[in-house]
Amino acid sequence: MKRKFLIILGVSLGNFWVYQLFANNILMGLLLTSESILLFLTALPERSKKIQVAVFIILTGLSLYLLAISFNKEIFYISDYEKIVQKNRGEYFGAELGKIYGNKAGIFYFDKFRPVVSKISGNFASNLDFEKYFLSKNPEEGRYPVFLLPLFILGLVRLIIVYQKTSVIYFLLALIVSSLVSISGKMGPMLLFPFFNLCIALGALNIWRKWQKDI
Amino acid sequence: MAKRHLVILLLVLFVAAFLRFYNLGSIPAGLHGDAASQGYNAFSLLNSSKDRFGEPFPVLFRSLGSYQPPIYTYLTTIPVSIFGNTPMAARFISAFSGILLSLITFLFFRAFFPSKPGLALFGGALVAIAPWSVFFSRLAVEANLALVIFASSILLYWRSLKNPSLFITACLLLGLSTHAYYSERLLAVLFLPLYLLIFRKFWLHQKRWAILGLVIFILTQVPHFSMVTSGAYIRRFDQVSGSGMDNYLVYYSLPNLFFDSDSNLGRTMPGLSVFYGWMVVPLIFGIRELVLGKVTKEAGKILGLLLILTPIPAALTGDLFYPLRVLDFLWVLTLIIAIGLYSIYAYLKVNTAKIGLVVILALYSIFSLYISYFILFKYEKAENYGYAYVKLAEKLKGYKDKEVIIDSARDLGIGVRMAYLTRFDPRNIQEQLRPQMKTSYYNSSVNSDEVYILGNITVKPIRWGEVCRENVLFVGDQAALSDKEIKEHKLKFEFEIKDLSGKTALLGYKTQPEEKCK
Repeated sequence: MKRKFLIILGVSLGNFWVYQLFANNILMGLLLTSESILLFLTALPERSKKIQVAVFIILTGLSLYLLAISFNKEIFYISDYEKIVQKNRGEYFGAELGKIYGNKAGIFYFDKFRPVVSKISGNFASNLDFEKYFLSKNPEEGRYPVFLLPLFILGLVRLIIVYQKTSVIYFLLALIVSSLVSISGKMGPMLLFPFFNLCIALGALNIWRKWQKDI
Repeated sequence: MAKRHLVILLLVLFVAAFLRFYNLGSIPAGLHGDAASQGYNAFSLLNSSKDRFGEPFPVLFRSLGSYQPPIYTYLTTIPVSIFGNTPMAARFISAFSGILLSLITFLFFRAFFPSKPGLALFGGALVAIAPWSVFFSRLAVEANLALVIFASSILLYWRSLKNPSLFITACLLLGLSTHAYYSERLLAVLFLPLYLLIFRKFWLHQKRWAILGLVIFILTQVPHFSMVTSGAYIRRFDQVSGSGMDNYLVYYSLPNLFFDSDSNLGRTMPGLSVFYGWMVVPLIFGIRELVLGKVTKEAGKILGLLLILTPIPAALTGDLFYPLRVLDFLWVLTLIIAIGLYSIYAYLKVNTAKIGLVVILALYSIFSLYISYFILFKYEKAENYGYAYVKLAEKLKGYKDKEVIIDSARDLGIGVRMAYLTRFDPRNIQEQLRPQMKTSYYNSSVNSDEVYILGNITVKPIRWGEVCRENVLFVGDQAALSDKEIKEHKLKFEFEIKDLSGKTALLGYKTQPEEKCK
């Protein structure tokens, strides 16, 4: 257990991201580092219900805080360029779809609902760009050293195989909240920080076990 | 095969055919220069057994400053002879390949997982509606034909593990695929030795078939060997080369595959990515099935090998994420998505939930595809496919008494596009183009500045020295016929052609030498 704890602690503190988080907000840094350790503990066979509850209490608190202070208003804002595109598209839809477009429900779907969903899914996608976390040449975005990428992939595959419910639910909730908030610069989608640490730590643990078996 | 499965398969193929052939002549609106080149070369071969440069039965088709692989063009002689010189005829082989791919995917799964006929239907259906497959099937791209040939060879390589004599046909098809598209040239030589290495225990006991197959494969490569010294391959390599690990990993990026939309020729359509966003979930389940070994070990090995190899040719080019060059990879991903979707389907216990899942996903996908491709792409990307030139070809029928000069400064494909659409005599074109070649037919340096004279129509960059000639009509875009040039040369407005989005695409102005040159 001690070794496992050291692995997750090492991963949580051995990256560029955590220092950006601490530099910006010490409390946030502490909470996310603690969340990384707790999430890792939920993925171990000797997990307890209390830890799972603690993970989701911290996640809920952080999510509410982020949604309150950094909700992405761009999602509902339509720029002048977007207005032009939308107007043109309205004409195309009108010409091709006739009454399917030209009624209240159609106009709401195509002019209001679809653009909002498109923006949210764009944010969702950019958070899913795993390369950005490891391979980015932009110093604003680089969060983990590149040599941790194989460990991350290994850990991710491990999670997919064993299907660890708490981690998957955590990842999905963190991803959804991150798609709705706008955090500029180095902080990035910080709710995903514990999940990334978890995958890297699982990958490292896997290799550690294999190495121990070999010797 | 059960009757129920046969009926569903026919329905899947009908959907595949509908999505590929519905309004194929008018969506994409226009005709891309590369497609026109393939169509006109096919027309030229039909009429004279030579391409438009007068080269008899080329191994590579010289075109627009580069070379096009040959099989697509040779096969296009069939639709061109049946349907004439239309955009639909130029795209026919690609669209037909898309339907065949759906069928081959079905057969592929039937061979890999004979106990799961439902999975084969899922595979065929996913290819039928996948955005990448519909998008590229509706463009005259050789890559789509190459993919069908490559996929057929993979199917036969698998079958040959039970019936070794099929190895010969598999090698023949793999060899042929290298004449269909550039990516397959590298992919084939990477795949074949690795396949033999993985299944070495089997093939060491079947040496006779293995050697025969390899000989057949090498024979299919002879035309490539003959090209090596010509410089023609160097030309293509120079155009696209540039590589890095980033270029490889970018093909595994989830946003690129499932969420980001773009509409360049090499990518996909507005508002939709290479795959539907929902497909990311079955992809994860599919990977899980593969890793857990729930698919057979051998099938897992082949899929794993293809998953690693197929992005390599595109990664060696300078472009970041260019789906046209990785259709084989997208097909392999579709197979894994099908495995994942089927595992979710099998996990559901209630039939209503199963049917609901399939119906909702199918309807949502086809609806999204219709909005993105058949509406947005059609209107917003008409200018990229030369829609205005198709209209121009009709318009110029009323200007037979005038000398028409069409500006070709910004679009290399205008000359061949007009020649194809007007069914201009290939022998005449050959006499014009052959002397304009600045190097031998196969060469590392290929000029693309040919002037086309199609009766009263000349396609070339506009030279303002000609404004003092009478009865001349200049046609060009707003950059060629700017307000400044129109004023300066005292040109008189004749017509305007708008693209589907309503933007002015082409202008026609006639000379007034009596005003300008008095």
